[in-house]
Amino acid sequence: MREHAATGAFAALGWACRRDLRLAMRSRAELAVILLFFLLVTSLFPLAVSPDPALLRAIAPGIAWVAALLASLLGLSRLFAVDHGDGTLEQMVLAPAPLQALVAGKVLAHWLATGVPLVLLSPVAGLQFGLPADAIAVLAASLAIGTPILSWLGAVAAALTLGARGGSSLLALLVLPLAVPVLIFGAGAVESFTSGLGADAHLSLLGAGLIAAWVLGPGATALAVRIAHE
Amino acid sequence: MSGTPDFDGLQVRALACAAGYRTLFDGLDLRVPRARWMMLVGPNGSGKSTLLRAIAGLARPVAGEILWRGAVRRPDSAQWRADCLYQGHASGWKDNLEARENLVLQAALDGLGHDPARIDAQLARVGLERQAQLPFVRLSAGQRRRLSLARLALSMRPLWLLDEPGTALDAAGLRTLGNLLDEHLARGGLALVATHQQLPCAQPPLVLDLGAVRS
Repeated sequence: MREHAATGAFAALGWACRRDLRLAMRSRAELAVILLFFLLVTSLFPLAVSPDPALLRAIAPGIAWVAALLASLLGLSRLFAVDHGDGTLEQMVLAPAPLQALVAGKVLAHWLATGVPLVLLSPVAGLQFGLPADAIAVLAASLAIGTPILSWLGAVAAALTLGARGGSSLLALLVLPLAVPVLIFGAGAVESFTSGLGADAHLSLLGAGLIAAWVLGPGATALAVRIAHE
Repeated sequence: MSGTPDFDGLQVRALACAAGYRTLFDGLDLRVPRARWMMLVGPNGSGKSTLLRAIAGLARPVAGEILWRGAVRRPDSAQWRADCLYQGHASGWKDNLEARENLVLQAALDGLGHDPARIDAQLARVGLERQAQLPFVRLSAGQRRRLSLARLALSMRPLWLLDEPGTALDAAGLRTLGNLLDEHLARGGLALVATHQQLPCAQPPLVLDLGAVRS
């Protein structure tokens, strides 16, 4: 294993991302749980709502998005809590590297480990509901743009709830209301595509949200982590 | 009482820290010049760890100031974070990673370049060459402490803040810790060590009893 000094912003981002991906690979069972959870939640809807294909096709994007949102919440509470518990987070706070870059690396790794597999799995959910191939592509694209926003919202909330009792349930209460716009534009992209209006407007708004998340997320998360260490 | 502005070391003036609403200590003054180390003693709960965390920048003092090389140290300044090494109660190591992986990652975070030979040499020095490939979670309590010693051995930072570094170490481990401390002081470094045991260090420590300054 090779690691160079993580003092500059990009070196620190790479350091944190490689470290967290390595840790994620050591606990693959947790990742499998998240993906199985996603598939199970999407499979419950035909049983609970109705087996009518037309109805299922209409609500499929919403179901896939709600399932992705809930699945991404599963891993988020551990994003900083584990590092907080074993003292590695305080070493990051004290390190010469900028904390914003370190948390950005952690969030990037979290998205690569949980968000990307969800995006890749979303066509399976789409096929379950009989979505046409081009609508499935739009669904995957909306998830690819939207899930990093969810990761950033969750990162800020996870850092804010560090050390709080019942942190993970508090995290869900904090993130779910904030995720509403992402959910609306994500699921809306597929709906407006199937209704013939095109998904461009929705995807552009999601893209704007993604840029805003990457601009504002690192500073807000780093600040919340610092507050937890004072 | 008041410090000299050009004092080349660590200085704490009229520091007060609290745990919740309980004041741990108030009006604490201390000075550690270069090439000296200070032993923090005092009963459990007297604020040894809180003092170390406050100096490192992990706890906010109620009052007072902390000076490093004659200037008030800002916890967010890059220079301070490159000068100070804090080793607290929490191990700072990941359970799932091998001992060597842990050390390589921490060395990079500490701003050290990639140098496998040095990493292996320091692992051997603290007696972990056979455990280098073991996950941290499978190390014994003493071996976990020894990994922290390897981090100290790699470090070139002038200020060490160590919280109970000798816990769970055997006699040989304590001797290694004493030698590391001596080498650090010989380089002109200084250290603040909270400990309940005597460390086998050639240089006699300054002693601060937090049980006595407690207000």
